[in-house]
Amino acid sequence: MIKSILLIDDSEPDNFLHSYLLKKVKEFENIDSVLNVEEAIKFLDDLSAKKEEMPAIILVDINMPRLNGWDFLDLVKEKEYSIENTRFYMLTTSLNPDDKEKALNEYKLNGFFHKPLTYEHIEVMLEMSI
Amino acid sequence: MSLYLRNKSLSQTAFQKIILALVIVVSLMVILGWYLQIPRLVQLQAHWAPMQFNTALSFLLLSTGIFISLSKDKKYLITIVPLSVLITLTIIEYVLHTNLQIDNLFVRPFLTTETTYPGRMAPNTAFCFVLSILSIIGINTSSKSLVYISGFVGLLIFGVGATAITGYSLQIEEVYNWGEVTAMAAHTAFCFIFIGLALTLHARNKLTDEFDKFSKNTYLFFFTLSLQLIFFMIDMVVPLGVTVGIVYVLGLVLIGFSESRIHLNLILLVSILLIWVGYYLSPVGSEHWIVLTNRVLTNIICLIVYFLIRSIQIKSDSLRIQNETLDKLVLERTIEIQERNKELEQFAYISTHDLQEPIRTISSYSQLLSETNRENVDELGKRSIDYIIKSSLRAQNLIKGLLDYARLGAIVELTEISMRSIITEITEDLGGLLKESNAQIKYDELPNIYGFEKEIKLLFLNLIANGIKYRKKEVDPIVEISYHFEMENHLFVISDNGIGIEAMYKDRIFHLFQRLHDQNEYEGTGIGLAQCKKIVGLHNGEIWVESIKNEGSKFYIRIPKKIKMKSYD
Repeated sequence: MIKSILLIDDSEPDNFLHSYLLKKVKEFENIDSVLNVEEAIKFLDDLSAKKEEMPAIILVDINMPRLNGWDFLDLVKEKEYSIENTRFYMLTTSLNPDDKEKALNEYKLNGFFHKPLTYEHIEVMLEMSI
Repeated sequence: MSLYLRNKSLSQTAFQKIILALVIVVSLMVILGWYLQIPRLVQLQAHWAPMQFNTALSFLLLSTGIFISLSKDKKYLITIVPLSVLITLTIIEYVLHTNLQIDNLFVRPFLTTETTYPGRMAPNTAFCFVLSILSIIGINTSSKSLVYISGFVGLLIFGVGATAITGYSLQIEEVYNWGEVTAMAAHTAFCFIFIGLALTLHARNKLTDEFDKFSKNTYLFFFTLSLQLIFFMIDMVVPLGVTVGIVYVLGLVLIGFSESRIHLNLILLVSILLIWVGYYLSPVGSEHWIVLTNRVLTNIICLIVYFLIRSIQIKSDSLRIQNETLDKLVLERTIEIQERNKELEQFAYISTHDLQEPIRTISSYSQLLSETNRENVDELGKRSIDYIIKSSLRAQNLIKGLLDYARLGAIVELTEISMRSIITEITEDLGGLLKESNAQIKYDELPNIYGFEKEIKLLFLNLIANGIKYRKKEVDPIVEISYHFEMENHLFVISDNGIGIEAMYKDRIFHLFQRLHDQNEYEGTGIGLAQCKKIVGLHNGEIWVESIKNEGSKFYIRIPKKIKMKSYD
């Protein structure tokens, strides 16, 4: 059962749309969205401090002000959160094939999606999580 | 020689200048010899003919004249006219058997030689000077055939000089001494060899420069061939052996100036043939073993010289081919880049029109929707419409910024810019923002600089506007522009009391689309500082930032005082 999802994207309209679409497909306990990597790390730090469960799915954009999606993934690795049950997906406007390669092979992410988020994407994520 | 590659004709004049300089040195030495009465300088060997003072003077005038003429200057007549007068008078003396008192006009004769007229130049010398004068004047005419003929006259002079030298080396007086009159001196003969060579090459270069390229090699070939044949005739009369051989070798060296390999091979063949035909056909002394040895030696030298020239040519060929390939490559790349630039321009154009168009439609219809139907839509609808309006506006700004960035430096004009008036203009342009934010712009002495005015203004506008935009909420913004003198550069510092930049981002901020703030915090496109960097780059300068987070930033701009215009087309 998927409890919570974290959306990391500097575009507020995108976050709104993504959580709207996710809510439409399934009732999630929590859908949180943050606008940058610093906020995302703070969010995860808080969860880990309170010993609460980590999000089941994290969707992260690549291009953001200051720290980008890759920086976020690096930071997550350093922090040693208990993320055994968390699935990471990249959701980005980037059309660069190198990025997909990097995400899947180097960072071993669970998926790489091009924006906008579609119902198919959501289904793929849900199937993987069952 | 063809190894001089691109500066071929230049190097050939260099060769001519060297031999002309030699003639000048010799004539100056002889003049010195006459004044200081040093027989060695004038005569070389006690029983040889001396170079007369007038001869030395004539050489000085002639070689200087040719020297001037080499640089395509009509002033060569300054020396050629007095020379003509001197030579004409000498000839008149010979023809009319009179004494015009010009032979000892400048110096008193101190040498006793067995001549009828003390101090008078030899008739063959005078004859050579006449030919030289005609040749140099002919070369400077615009008639192709006259230039041609003048070159051959040069060859004739060369021939007379070389004949006299062979006479000296084989002690055959008839060759350099015409009858009872003054004989041609050995160094005079040498000087004529050089003068003849210089004139011939001069004519040939002129044919190359002003007429067709074909004539250059062919001309040189026939010139060399005639030289060989003339000496073959002499070879028939006197068994000269090595001395005539020198001319064959010279011929080979001469043809080295040609780019044609066939000509070189032909001349080698002709030389070898003539050397041996001369041995068998010459009625005198053909059985003499010394003559035989001489001819064998000549042949060997000819071959050595031939292979020497060939090796130089092969080296220069590969160099030339390399250069040509390189040139071609550079040209291809340039064309490619020009095409790319055109494509990019086209791309930028499409961005403005074709891309702006649908975005504008989205923007205007969503605004229409928002204004007229707002009460009929639910919360989600309202929110969606607001997002659409905001996003389409942002897209418009991004496209415009991108286009401006791409166009930077497309058309630039280097002018003197008053930095003071630039800042005043910017202050006026930013009027609204300054009032609204209660901002202050401070500056004192600012210089005039050379640069691209529109771009420099954009550079300072961006930096000043940034200083105001990224301000601390609780403090009124102050932007200060200061100038620091450097020997070679202008150094401007634009400092603000804003929010500052973290050290780790101070390079990244100059990259296109790089932003440090979320849209709802500080609006922006991430183009401004990239523009600044590009503008400073256009001026061959540098831009960097020093900043402390929460205390403000200092942007440094260093622009060279002398700006090299690059080609931007």
